[in-house]
Amino acid sequence: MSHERMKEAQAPGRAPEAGAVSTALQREMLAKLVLVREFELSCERWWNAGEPLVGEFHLSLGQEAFAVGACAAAEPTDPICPSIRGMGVYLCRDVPMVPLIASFLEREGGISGGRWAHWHSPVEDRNILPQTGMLGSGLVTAVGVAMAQKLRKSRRVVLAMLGDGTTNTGYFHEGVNLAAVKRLPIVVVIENNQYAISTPISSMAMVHNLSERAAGYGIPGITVDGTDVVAVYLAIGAAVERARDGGGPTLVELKAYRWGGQTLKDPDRVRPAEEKAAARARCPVALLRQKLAASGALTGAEFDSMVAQARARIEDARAEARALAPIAPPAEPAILRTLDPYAA
Amino acid sequence: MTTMTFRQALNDAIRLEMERDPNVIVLGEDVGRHGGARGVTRGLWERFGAERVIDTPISELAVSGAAVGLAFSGFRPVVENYIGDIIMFMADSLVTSASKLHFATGGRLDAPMVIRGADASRPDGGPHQDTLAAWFAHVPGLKVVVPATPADAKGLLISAIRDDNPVVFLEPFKLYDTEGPVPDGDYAVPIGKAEVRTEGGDVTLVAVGGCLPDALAAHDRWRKQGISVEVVDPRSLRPLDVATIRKSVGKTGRLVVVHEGWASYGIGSEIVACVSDGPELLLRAPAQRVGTLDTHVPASIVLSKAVLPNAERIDRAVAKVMEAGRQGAGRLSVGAT
Repeated sequence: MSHERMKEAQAPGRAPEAGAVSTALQREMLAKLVLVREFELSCERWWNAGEPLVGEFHLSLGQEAFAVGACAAAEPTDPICPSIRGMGVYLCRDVPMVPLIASFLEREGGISGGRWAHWHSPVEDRNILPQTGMLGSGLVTAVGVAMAQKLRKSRRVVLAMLGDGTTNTGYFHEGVNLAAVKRLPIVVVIENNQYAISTPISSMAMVHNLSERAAGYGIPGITVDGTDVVAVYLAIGAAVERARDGGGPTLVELKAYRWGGQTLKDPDRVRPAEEKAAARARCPVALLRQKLAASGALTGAEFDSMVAQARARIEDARAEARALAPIAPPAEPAILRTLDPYAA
Repeated sequence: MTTMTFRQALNDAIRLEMERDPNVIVLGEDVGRHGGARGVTRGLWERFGAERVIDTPISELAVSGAAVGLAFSGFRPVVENYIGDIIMFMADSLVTSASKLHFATGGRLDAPMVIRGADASRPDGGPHQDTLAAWFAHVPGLKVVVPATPADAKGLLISAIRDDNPVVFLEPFKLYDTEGPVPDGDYAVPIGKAEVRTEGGDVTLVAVGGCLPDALAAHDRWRKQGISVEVVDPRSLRPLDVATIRKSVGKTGRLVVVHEGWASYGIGSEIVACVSDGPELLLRAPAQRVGTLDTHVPASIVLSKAVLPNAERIDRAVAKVMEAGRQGAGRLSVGAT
């Protein structure tokens, strides 16, 4: 990543005043940042300890403010399609933690019942939309959901989150354009963590900020510092409001840096060590904690208690999930009834 | 009963379903005032308005994906595929998203959607003459329907729109202007039921979609020679009505399958396999597949007729199974013609 780019990105076009965000909300967002951070650190720890976890773990360490800011900016009833790095969305939408962890552990009662990857699974009562393994497919599906909201006049706004690499797919171009020409209530959130696996986005896009691509679709685009959860919240909040009022889609680019590899399986050998180290200086958790502490809105003990609460919640959920029965496959042909691909 | 064209029958089906169910919407390129690429959606925009008959950009990826989102949000989108092979751009939405939704959510979410449009060879030559029916019939969670008569065009499309699964609905290009009697009003033909078009005792000729007229012509030719051909129209490729086809072969002992699309790894291969799989041996002659030759359909009309299934190749296949059957060959084997 270039830190020059990051600095420029912090001068957004029309970010509302940070003063508009109450201390209470900032503390809430800090608690969520801590929860996402602690949850993903736990996943990393379990993985490194050799726990047999199923699937991929695309952690969002360093970019937790994307999910936290987005979920705080939208109503809980607004449908949201997470990116593949979307664990934070599940946590911020209060998806019960036991089924989430049960899905990692191949236990009964997991969020997908072992049928679909945990990071693709919809959770209807939390308005989390399904996505597939194809980057960008979540966006176009979400565009359809936005079309449904408009036809139903529901006043719900759809959030579609996707990575920087996905902005180079045909799905992105077609999806954003379709949303734009139909003036759909959707906010497209680009989670720019600078890399698609090992490939820097700067080598794969000729625009300085990915939000510049909005101009090609005739819609507003904005780039904000994605390590600043308040800035994320305000930018997405403004876009949500605009969409709810019938103003159509906005492209919101959030810039941060993925601290770890693409997944826990990725040895991450390509990205420069000094770059990775430098990125940790802009920690979304530390930034908000320091800001609140400086204004006297948070004591050290209060922060410690947030961390302790998160850890206890995670450990309790893990213990409960481990106690669940392992998934047992039914015999053929019963398995085809259990895993029936057809609606009756 | 009204005599109408295949095209009008499709239009009738969509109009009736839109009248019956406000959740049925139409999307696609030029489906509005233009009336669709093949005139199938004519008059719907005027009748139901731009909110329910939605013109889209040339964006198959987005439109098919949006259809999935609309479908699990409670709508029943009917998406027009401009022409046969363009469905490749919709393949990911169909295969990776739509076909998996019911399975992946344990039935909490479904994708009741129809992708419909012109398919297979066109009477006027040019590009876009493929049918990829076999690709989609390969995928659990999808249904694939190919009507061959105006009545079935209406009845099967009504069933497809009402189906809670994603349906690939393929309209044989060369049948759009064919006419036939079509039942008036609400008329649903169940998906997954084959139809015996002519009764016969010597050869079972399974004919898919646009090959049905060729099969019926073959039936008439062979009747003059004292050979009775039972023509079976499967009407849907997935689910496939194996029971009806097996019942026919049980009577004739001889099987020829004719369809557009390549015979290799194709629809005919699957039908022959389903007949051969048992439980009991039915064939007394090697089954024959008549498909598009293993090359590409040329733009020239003259050349394309040589590559596509034609009367000569159908007759050769029928002659072959009759010959082998007469010799009393009881071996179970499969050939391609």
